[in-house]
Amino acid sequence: MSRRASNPTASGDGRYHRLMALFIVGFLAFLALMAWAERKGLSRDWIGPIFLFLSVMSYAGVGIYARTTDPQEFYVAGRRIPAMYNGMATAADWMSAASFISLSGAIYLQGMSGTAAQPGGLAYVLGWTGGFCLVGLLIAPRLRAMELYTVPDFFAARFGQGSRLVAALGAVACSFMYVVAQIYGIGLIASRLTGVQFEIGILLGLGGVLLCSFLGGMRAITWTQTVQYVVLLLAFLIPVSWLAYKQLGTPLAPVVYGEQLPKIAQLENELIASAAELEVREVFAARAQEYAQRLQDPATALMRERARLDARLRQLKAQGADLSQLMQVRREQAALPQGAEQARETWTRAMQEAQERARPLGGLPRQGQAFVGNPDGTAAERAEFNASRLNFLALMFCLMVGTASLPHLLTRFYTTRSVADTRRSVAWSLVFIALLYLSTPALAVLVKYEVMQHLVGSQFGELPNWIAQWARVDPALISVQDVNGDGILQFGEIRLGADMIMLATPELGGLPYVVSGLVAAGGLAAALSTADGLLLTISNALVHDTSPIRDKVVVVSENRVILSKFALLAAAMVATFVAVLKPAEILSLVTVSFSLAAATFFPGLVTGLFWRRASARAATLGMLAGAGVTVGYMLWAHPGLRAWWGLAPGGLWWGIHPISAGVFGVPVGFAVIVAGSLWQRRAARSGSEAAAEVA
Amino acid sequence: MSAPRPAPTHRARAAWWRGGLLVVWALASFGVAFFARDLTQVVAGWPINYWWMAQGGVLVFIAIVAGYAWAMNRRPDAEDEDLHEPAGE
Repeated sequence: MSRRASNPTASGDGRYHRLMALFIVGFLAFLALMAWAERKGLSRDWIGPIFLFLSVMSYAGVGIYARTTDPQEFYVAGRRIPAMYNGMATAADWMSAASFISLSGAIYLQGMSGTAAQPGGLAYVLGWTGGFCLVGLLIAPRLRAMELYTVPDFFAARFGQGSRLVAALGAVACSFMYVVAQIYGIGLIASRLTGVQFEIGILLGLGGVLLCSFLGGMRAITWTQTVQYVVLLLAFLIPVSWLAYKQLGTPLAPVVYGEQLPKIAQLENELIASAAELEVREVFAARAQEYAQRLQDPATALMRERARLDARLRQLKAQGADLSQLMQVRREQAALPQGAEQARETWTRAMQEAQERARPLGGLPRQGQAFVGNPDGTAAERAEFNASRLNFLALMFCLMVGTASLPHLLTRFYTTRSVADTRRSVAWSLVFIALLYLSTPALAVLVKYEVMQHLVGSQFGELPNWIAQWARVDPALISVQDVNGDGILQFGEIRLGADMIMLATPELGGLPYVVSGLVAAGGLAAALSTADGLLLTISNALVHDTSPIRDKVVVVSENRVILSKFALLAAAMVATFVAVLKPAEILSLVTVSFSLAAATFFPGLVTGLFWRRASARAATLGMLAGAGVTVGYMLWAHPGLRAWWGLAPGGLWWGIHPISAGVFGVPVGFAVIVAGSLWQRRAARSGSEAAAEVA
Repeated sequence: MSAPRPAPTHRARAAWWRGGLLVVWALASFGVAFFARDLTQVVAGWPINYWWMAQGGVLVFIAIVAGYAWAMNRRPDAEDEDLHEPAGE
């Protein structure tokens, strides 16, 4: 894909259109070729790797073609990207592994709105699109008018060195957390697609990112992202349309999936009443009780467990039992916690999971019901309802404001030709994002129907292959156990991770394996495109945003660009190292970085752009205060960390969960900036009055 | 920036657009979500609350951003209206 048109005219745009059309046709032809080859007997072991290598190689090819060391090109792609293509690149930049891989999974698991403790569902859809209203109306046009290179540049130009360093630090922190989630997604896909280890999968995928962003900076990233957008859109729409065609007889999933909602509600009612499901729930309730009992005295319970397994082992040996049974007991022994402290932790988690699964529908909220609890019920139910609604709104707020603050997104709007183009480009971005987002809830609903209608009730001996294959990648992604021992799969016996539902959709719906390969390539494109933008932001924050300022203008030079490239490599290495540790689910990592970005940048950006009197010192303080409150609340209120600090569980402010901590950080940031600026002004005025009196 | 500051009426017009559209934005997102539990009526096969939060809201957001871009880009000199740059003190 060569796009080096240097004349920003309409004829230049025509060239872009032709190349894009060529790419789309070529890509579809490649898909048809693969489908034909599969029918002719091309092995599945080849299809996955072919998709992986060809897509990564083509992204790297764009990167090599668009290589540059010119600062204008490296930082802002020469500021000559047409509005529509910038919108397309923004959409790919924006839609990360969280949108592509996890979002429909989250809507499947959390239903319409999630619970109080885990809000979600459609809050992500509204939050991640609604944020663009703030970007388009408040932030992007004015930032573009200032002709900057990075977001901390704005703070340098408007407020000076202090808040610029805070901004650079904030940009590194939230982009880093975000990029770790992307790299985790890359590893997940690459390892499933090629059958290699998770760690090697990460390195394979990352090679492509680095080649691209290392060589070409923003220019290469922009054009790779437009290509990646096409891949990820097709990879999403093809399986959704196919599934809709299978279930409803038309491929227009977003228009028709409403039909399935009442059917799902009906199936949910049947499942809640089913005797077999009740059996499963009772087993889990008994397990939860068992763990609760152990937790009363973990040390003794641990000794008792050890003794029990030893006795069992001796007994089996005496009976001359076969090796597999002995191995089973040995595995259980190895899985026992090491000491009383660890036992308390492990068993608490196990108890909570069992309690969750002892609830109707395995603890999942009903798909079509807004918020849990009951506004007309008992006091406890009313409280649950209010907490659920409040957390939903808080999450939506953080996602929206975070959207308007994330540096890697805002810098995308620096690359357009004019301010007018920036406004148009925001609208294009939202259109391109909506193409995928309108189908995401559709996919969740269709998959849920497929699981409830067809998968539940099948014999354990005849379960499809993909379940075992996914469990091999990571047992946390899917677990299916015959809990009540009747040989039939119940809904309560399935435990799915949000991160695998989209990736497993083609197999779940019985589509050809080529579609699986395509979906994985799409997920890879989503993760890589976002990782590209994030790594560039991190390296720019480390190098460009710490370079000297002359007259409020940041000095740019080719040397700095080369330094940026190496910072980018280093950031990628560190992020990979963290991702290998599998710190958390993709979606929660991403949400936390939104909260942090919202609290760090949004108050400073809005006051800086719209309020003449906002002072430099107040802005620095406000950013620090906002970020401090957010991080502090996360550390203080996170249930796991509270146990670690030795605090009692609970301690939430107004029942808001730490994932939405930005809801406190943003107002605090605004309050500090406004109060500080006004106070400083008053102090300055009385100071000058005093000076006048002396004179 | 160094551009001469445009007449306040132009700036005011941009501010009114922004304010009005932000009110629509808040109502379409937070307003509807707050009352989501009660909006269970089915219209054309869709429960209103589900349709709005999954699709309707997104379409309104597109209209807001596109409408603002259209309104501000209508006049060639419109650029400056929206863009007076606070210089700081």
